[in-house]
Amino acid sequence: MNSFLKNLSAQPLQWLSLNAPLTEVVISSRIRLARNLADEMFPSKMDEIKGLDAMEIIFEACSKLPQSERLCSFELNTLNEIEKDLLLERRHITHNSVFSSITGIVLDEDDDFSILVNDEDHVHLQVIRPGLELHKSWDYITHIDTLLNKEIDYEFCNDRGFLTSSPKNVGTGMRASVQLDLSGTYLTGQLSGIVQAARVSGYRLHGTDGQDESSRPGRYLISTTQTLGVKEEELLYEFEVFVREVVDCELRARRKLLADSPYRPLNLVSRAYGALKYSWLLDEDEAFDRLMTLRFGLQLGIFEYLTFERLELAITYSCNSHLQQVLQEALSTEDLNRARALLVRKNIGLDI
Amino acid sequence: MICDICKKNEAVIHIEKHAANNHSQLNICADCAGIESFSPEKIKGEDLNRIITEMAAYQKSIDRASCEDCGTTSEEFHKTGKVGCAKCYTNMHEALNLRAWQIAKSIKHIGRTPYNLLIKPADFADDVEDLQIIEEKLEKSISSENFEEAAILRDKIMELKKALA
Repeated sequence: MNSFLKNLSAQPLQWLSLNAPLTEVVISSRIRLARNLADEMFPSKMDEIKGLDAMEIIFEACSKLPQSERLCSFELNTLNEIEKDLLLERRHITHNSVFSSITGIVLDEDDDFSILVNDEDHVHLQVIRPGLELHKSWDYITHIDTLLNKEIDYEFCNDRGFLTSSPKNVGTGMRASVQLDLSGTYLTGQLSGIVQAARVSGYRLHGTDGQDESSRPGRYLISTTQTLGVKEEELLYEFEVFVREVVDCELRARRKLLADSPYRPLNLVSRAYGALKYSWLLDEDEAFDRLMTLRFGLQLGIFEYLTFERLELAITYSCNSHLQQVLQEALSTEDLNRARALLVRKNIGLDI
Repeated sequence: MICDICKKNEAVIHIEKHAANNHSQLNICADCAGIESFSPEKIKGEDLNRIITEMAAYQKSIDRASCEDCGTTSEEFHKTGKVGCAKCYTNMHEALNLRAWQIAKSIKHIGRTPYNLLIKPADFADDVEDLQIIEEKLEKSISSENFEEAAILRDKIMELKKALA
């Protein structure tokens, strides 16, 4: 494995850290800007020669950034499956990312910033940080956006703003989202109220796997949808106000649960603990869901067999590519699930 | 709502098609539908037939639309939800049915502007050029002692500078 990626895989997942504001409810926040090179076709219509030229131009521009020493750029083509999974687990690409021969990525040592090249658009700038840090993330991403723009011209039209391959991004090209742990609201049955409020305010609330809100209860994504006719800072400000209201709502729900029906969260957390304790085969999604339920228990103070540090490690190393990196071998799915079950037991402090 | 076919009259018939991932809408006025006035309960069978034929023809012409710069067809767009280049937005404006994608003409971008346009905003580019030309003219008129023209030019420069500030 590439040494830059190897270093990354040895660190706990950056976006999952607890060393940030409001992490008891907000797991992470993310801002993405979509940009395209002026007078070029969008990546889906580019042939390989043009695409590679565009990638070189963008990589070249990145090498002129003041923090270029901390950056590392790759053609996704040159990475193996485990390395691609690593990028997925560290949230620099998504399941929807296009892996064509002209796709590339620029990563930062700090792991909170990345530039995806020739995916849907020529440039996708992204900042992902733990907790609720939309404003700092915005300041950072616009700083880089301006610097990059001094090197490359963007496709822009006065009326419609930045033009992107999907009409959904035309305008600011900005999308902000937060990942929330709403287990309390889910348990008190108030989630539909939040879903409704999000819809009315023009935000989208869905499950963390991109499906609708009921697919994997507990953790949800709320994201902005508007990109045209709105100023980025104002949208972000309103979005943050909304997210803070949701956070308050969740905290109230948790207090109410502890006061009125403490066995309900206790039941949820203990079952997750039991499942992890007694499983021999554990797939990636289940491990993540149950470990996050333990995190909810820790934050609620109803579960005490574990420290946050141990939990963070358990979650990081139960991800497919991190797990294989630790074991230093590529495994079949069944062997992976078996190894994961063992590793999680060890990390949550239980002997076999 | 304006008629999609003649783009002049107020549309009285609105037809929507809802299919997975493909919502389209057609609005037509009574003229284009070939009827005098429209009321659902009075419409005759043959009128309805003609309306639907006309609509189908219009829909076909839209479905066949493509971008002359990158070759993306509207069918491709409705399948993937993505356009092929920036020009698609103008070349296939109608076929893309951008209203459904929040890109109505009335909503204008008010967010960030690229770096190069910030230095010299496009809207003022002409004025900046004018200013330079007039300043050159002013110099010429002074050196040729044409003070009457110089005074007019001086006022114009003042005016332009005020507008630019």
